[in-house]
Amino acid sequence: MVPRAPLDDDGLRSHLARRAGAAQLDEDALLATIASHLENQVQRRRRLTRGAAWRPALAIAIAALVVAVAAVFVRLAPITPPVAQTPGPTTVAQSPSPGLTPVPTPVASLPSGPLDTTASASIDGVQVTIELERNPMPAGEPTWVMTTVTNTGADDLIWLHGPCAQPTTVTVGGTVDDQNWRDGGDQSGASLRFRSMALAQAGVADGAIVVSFVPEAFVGKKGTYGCGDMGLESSLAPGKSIKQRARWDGGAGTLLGPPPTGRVELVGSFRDFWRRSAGEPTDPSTSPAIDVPLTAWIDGRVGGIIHPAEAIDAALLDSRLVAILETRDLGNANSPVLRYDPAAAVWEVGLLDENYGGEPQVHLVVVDGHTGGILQFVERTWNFNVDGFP
Amino acid sequence: VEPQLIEAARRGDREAFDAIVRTRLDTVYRTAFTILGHEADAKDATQEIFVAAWRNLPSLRDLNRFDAWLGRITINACRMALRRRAGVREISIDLPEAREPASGDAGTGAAAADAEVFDRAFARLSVDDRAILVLHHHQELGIAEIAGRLGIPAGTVKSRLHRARGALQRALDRENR
Repeated sequence: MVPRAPLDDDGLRSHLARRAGAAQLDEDALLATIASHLENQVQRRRRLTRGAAWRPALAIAIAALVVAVAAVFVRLAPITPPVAQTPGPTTVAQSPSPGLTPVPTPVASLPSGPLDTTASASIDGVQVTIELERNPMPAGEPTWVMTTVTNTGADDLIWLHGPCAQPTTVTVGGTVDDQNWRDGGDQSGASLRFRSMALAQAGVADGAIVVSFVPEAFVGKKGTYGCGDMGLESSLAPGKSIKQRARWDGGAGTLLGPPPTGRVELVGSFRDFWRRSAGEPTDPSTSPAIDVPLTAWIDGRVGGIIHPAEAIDAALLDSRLVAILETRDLGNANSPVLRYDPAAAVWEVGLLDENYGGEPQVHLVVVDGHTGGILQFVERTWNFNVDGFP
Repeated sequence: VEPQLIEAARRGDREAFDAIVRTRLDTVYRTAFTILGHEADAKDATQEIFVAAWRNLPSLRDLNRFDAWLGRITINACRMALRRRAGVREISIDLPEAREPASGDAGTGAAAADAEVFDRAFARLSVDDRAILVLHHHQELGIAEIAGRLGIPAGTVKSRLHRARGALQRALDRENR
């Protein structure tokens, strides 16, 4: 075949215009279909009750109620020290501060019938199966998934993975349908930058509530995890399988607390593989991939937790944190910390000063997960081996 | 789209939202079709996009960001559509993969062959790669506008564009072999 010249910008534009022009649109029919779908669809109203929408009298009443509830909470149920695996020499006891009202998330209804716990898909002599321990999966409790990759072909299956001691074959995760993290209130300056960075780092900038299963080898590690970006090959003989377990810790994202009730289209993904007889693809990004979908439901029986942006807003009511933020070059060895501690039902929001060459220091505001009231301001050293990576 | 219409729709006015749908339907559908290359999927995605927009409109804080917000919903819907389609198929990669009949008015002979090769190569790209190419090279959005629409830094847009062009060229080379 005669070699072709690389596609230039004009050629690309031309092809894309052709594709767009090929779209046949019966506008009236599609409008009618959309209209029928919109029937019975209820708009999701903003639930955050801070900011301009507050009526002053109601605000005062709610704030007084929050103070009272927080005060009772502190007196009757002392908070477990947050991530206190490392010494906390400068913990400062604080009176609770008014934060946000606990606002229920709109609740989806669990389906009544039995739900599938197993799904499978095959491509080119490779079968991938995922088996959930249970469906629905209760929020706040661990649920395991077993993943199986079976070579049903006639020759070796080669797969590419990172340098972890136990390389992961299948990743499993999804996002909660029709549910989003609520937005925060108005912020500006360093506070706004901090909140944006914290949410982006936590992977919730677009509001999606992510559910992910952590490979068994990483279960129990705090914060983010992973291995270097390095491709190593392993092979799987015909008829053989690799079984691996992964666990959902019952929380959203990475340490973001129990998600609300909702449907999750879980996808088990197996990528970067090829058959030995076919040889390694010249471009791994175009090698085949197997995605196994399984509709799961989360039983969000744990309710009333304020959402990440709200927790940040509550923490930013603490002037000590704000004062620190205003003097720091955010992002340059100054990383946001945003975590929910389910054991204590508190959010930890603050700034980790990685203090290159010295001991890392964290400045944390501990926020009641239910009321949004500030419970503590903690300054202590940070131990990456114990506290993990934010 | 006039801010008053969006504000009315945000307050629950269905007629206002219907008016918004009418003004955006063609753009949304053609964007979905260009990314997905599949009529039924594009129609399904378009329906989902407007239903999601209606349901979530009250959460839109800045009315001036409506189009950027709708664009992100569009790309997410395309991502979900491709994921669903990838998930339900059980195919052999020995068979021609991802025949996405977006041939359109490709003409005949060499032009039609080129179009077929391009569509097959395009179908090999991830939805993120497809979307960024469509936004930049078809909708002719600038780097900053794409960054706003996708919610990523401008530098990331540049690197993703570079990567997407590279992936497309490699896919084309592969199809031309």
